[in-house]
Amino acid sequence: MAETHKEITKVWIAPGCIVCDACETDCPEVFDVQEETCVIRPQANNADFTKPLTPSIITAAEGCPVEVIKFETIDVEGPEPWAGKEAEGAGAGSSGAASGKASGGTKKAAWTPPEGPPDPKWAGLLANAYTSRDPNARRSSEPLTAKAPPEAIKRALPKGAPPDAIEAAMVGSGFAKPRPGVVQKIREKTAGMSRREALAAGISAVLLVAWGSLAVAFANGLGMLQNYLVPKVINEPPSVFRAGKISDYAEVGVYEQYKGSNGVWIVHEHDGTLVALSDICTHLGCIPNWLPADQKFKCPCHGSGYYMTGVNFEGPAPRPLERFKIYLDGEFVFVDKSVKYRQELKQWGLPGSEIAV
Amino acid sequence: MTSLLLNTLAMAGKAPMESPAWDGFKNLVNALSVPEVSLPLIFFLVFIPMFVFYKWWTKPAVAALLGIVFCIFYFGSMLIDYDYLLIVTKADNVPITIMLVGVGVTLWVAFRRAAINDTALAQGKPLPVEGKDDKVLVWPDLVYTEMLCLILGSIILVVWSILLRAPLESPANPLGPPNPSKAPWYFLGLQEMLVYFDPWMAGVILPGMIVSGLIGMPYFDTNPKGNGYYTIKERPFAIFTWLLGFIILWVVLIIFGTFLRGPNWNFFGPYQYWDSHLSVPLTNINLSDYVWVFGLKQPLPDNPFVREMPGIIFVIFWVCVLPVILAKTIMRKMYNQMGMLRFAYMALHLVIMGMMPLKMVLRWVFTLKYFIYLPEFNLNL
Repeated sequence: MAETHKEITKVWIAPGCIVCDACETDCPEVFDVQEETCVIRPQANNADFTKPLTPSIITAAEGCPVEVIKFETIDVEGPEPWAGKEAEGAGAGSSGAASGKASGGTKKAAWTPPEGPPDPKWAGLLANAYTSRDPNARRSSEPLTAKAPPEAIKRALPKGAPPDAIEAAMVGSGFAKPRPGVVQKIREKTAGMSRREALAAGISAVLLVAWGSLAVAFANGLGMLQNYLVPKVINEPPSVFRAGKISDYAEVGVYEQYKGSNGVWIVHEHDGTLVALSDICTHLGCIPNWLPADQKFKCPCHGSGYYMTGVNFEGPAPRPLERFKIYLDGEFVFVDKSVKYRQELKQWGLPGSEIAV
Repeated sequence: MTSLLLNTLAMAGKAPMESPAWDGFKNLVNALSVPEVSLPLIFFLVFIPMFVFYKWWTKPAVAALLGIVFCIFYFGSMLIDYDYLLIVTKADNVPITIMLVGVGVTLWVAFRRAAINDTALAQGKPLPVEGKDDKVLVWPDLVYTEMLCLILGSIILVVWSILLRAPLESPANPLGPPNPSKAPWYFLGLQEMLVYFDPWMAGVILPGMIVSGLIGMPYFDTNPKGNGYYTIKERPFAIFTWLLGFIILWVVLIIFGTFLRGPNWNFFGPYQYWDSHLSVPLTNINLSDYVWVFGLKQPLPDNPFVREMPGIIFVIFWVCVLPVILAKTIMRKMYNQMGMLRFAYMALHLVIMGMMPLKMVLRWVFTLKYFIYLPEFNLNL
């Protein structure tokens, strides 16, 4: 198979440039980013000029975030002339179009140290420091150890200099590489990803944040709704109340004096027990009346009837009235409405459901 | 003005007309109005003849006579009894009177048209509605009708609100609930059902079945007969069942709740004083008591499901087996026409509607309380 490669003969900028400087970084010979758009430098309108620059133009085209760098290629016989110089140039050159995978640092220039801190103070400090980019140029015969440069820097710096000052001095003097910036980190992370994948990952992250915050807001709203639905103040009498003295209930009968305030009938039953009956009809929650002549509780809503003991015997009431906990403290009778005793669950007769008079 | 008139009537009724001469009549009506007597009377002497003799009683002369008799009985009773007058002239109950008259008139219209159509069908003549162009124009026919209805409705509401005092009562007091505590008039049928059933049944299941039955009616009743014309002969079952549910189990129960339910939700005759101290024995007994205690002469079993087994078996029979028996026997033709799903839907609603009169009759005759009595699980039927 005859070996061919592509060489760029013409390059131009389509409308839509966002003036991001990426192309000029990748290939300053060709691209000139101006105020409003990027233009092709005049000399680059020559095919002979662009042909040797093919790899860097392709890198610039792939690196363009809005993909406005367009170019034309021709197939040329023979191996790529720049194949040896560029580590990964072959792949990028043969893929030809900007749609291929990014070749990842095709024209990544070797790292060059910055020229040094512009501050004359820094320059003076560094001039006195035993530092140099070239170990051979060191004024000291002392071999450079791993520990030495920081020591030298520390000596050069005022005492107690902050860590970032030390780091800046190390970078400025060439002892350390600058730590990678955010853009570089993103480039490293997305190396090997297509533009589409990178965009998808970014959009997914944005969507995740958006929906997540929406969910948080919604959950917060639900919580507020629940908070709104729960009453802030409940005008309920305390569940435990003192219902007079035991001697008040000497006679058999129904005592109604706590019906209004607490919703309880105190009943001295024929068998000599004292119980606290709820005044809520077990059918649909109306409040029955005590009819002394008939010796029964009678509900006005649907006609349910209860014996004095609270046991239902007529009408639709499905079960007897509920008993509340009743107990003696000294000579005083106490009723605890938070504890209920239901006859059909065989809870009547349990301690607390009744007291002997 | 109306209230003035009614007050005058009341004054008049209280003094001279309340003579002992009417006591025999009043006592008879009171005795007949007990539900175990009045409901069968209404069913067998009014409801069934309404279908049997519908070609006769819908003749205008007969119907007018019936209407006059009803009005004399209904409104004339105000003159002879003060307790009845209090019920009828109560502002809450004015809609009941309107409803009674409205139901009577609409029933007459429907039965009259059905009688005419059925006669024509029997003689092989075309229906009176056939060939008539019943199209009307939106403008002016419909819009004018709507405008007149709007004006008349507004006038009626304004006059009503001026003449009748709103039936407001004293502020609510949990210690002194109104006795009797009555629902709004249109819910009195539901309240009457609550006397016989558990709140879950009468307040949720049965009203839900009413709604689902009404929704499902056009889907399971696919009989094309009667579309666009009144007829009874061509669809007797549908009309009978519908009117049984609407007239007997809804309107009549509203009337019961209005006129016959007094203090402590006891039954009173229409001419009876509402004595809140009247002692009425209403002891009710569960089906499990009947079977175990009275039938098998042994104490109730401890396990609630064993205890309620007779009721559970009965309810399963009534809801699950009875529709199958109906499908195999007297409703076989209907089953074949409707198909399994439609018939099942219809029959389920039918048997559950049938539970209402069944339970009422059993309550009156055997003082039956519940078929299934499981207060341990708040489940009663």
